[in-house]
Amino acid sequence: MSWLRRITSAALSSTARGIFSQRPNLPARMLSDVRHPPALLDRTKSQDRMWSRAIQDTIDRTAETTQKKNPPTPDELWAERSRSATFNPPADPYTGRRVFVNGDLGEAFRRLQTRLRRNRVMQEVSRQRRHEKKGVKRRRLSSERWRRMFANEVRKKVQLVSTIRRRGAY
Amino acid sequence: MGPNTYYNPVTAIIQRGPKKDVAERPKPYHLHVYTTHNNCRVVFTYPSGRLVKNGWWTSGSCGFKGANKSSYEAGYQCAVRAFKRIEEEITSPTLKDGGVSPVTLALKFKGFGWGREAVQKAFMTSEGDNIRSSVVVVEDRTPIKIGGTRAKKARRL
Repeated sequence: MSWLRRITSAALSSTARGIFSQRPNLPARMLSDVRHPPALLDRTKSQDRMWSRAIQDTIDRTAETTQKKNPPTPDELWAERSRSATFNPPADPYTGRRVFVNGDLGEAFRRLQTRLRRNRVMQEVSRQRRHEKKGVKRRRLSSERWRRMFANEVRKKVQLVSTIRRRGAY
Repeated sequence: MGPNTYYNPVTAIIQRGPKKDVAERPKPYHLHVYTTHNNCRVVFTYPSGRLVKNGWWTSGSCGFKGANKSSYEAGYQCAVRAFKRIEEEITSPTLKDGGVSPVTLALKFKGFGWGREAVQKAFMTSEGDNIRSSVVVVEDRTPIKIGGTRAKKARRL
C-alpha cells in the first residue's frame, strides 16, 4: 500500500504548496502483483497476461487496417472463419454425462462419478421413481433451503475468522 | 468477421491444429450396462447399434435366480462373460456385420444398481486387462424426466 501513501502525500503536498505538481510516477503493476485479501482478487496472473496479450494483439491487428485496405472479400472472410472455427459434434441429451478416456479408465470412471454427484443425478432418479405429493415436496424444499442458508452463513463466518487470523488478529 | 458475430480476443489468439482427429477416429462398439435393483443386463453391439452374435448377458443367463439377480456377484459374472466375447471380437473382428478393425469401446451405463459398480470393478481387475485400453468413452444414460408422466404413489412401509 506504499504507492497509495505516496500518491496521497504528493497530492497533499501539492495542494498545500498551491502548485500543481507533476503526475506521480506510479509503478506499472498488474492487479495481481499487489497484495490484497483473497476475496478481492478474482483474476489470476495468467488471466491478466492473457488479456494483455489479447489486447496487444487487437491493437496490432487493427493498427494499419482502418482506412487502408478494402473490406475483406467473402472468400477471405470464409477462410478466416474456417481457420478459427473448430466445432464439436452436435449435443445430444447425454453430452453432459459423457467422459472421454485419456489413458486411465479408473480416472474416467471417477470423473463421471464426480460429475453425477455434483449434479445430484442419483437423488433425482430415486426421487422420480415414486411420486412426491405437493406437501411433501414443499416441506423438502423448505428444509433444503434452510440448510443451504445456514451452511452459507457458517461458511462466511469461518472465512472471516480465517482472514482475520491470517492478517494477524491485532 | 461478419455482421452478427462478436469478436472474442481471447479465443482468436488460441492456436488450434487443423481438424484431423475427428475424421480419423473409428466408430466405437457399444457396451450397454443396464442395472436395476432387481437385475443386471450387459449388451455388446456394433457401432451401428446392431447386436453382436452371442453378445448379451443377464443375471438370469449367468445362473442367478430371484433375489440373487440383483447382487454384486451377478453383475461381475455378466461383465466377465462380456469381456471374453469382446476379446474374441478384438482378435477376429467381424467386419461383415458392421464391425470396424481397431475395436474401441464405448461404455454406456443405465441405472444405479449394484451391477454398475461390479462392472466398473471388473474392468479394473485382471479380468479386463486386454479390454481396458480399448475403452474410449464412458457415458451415463440413466433416463431423467423433466416433468413427465406421474409415477406411482410412494410406498408406505
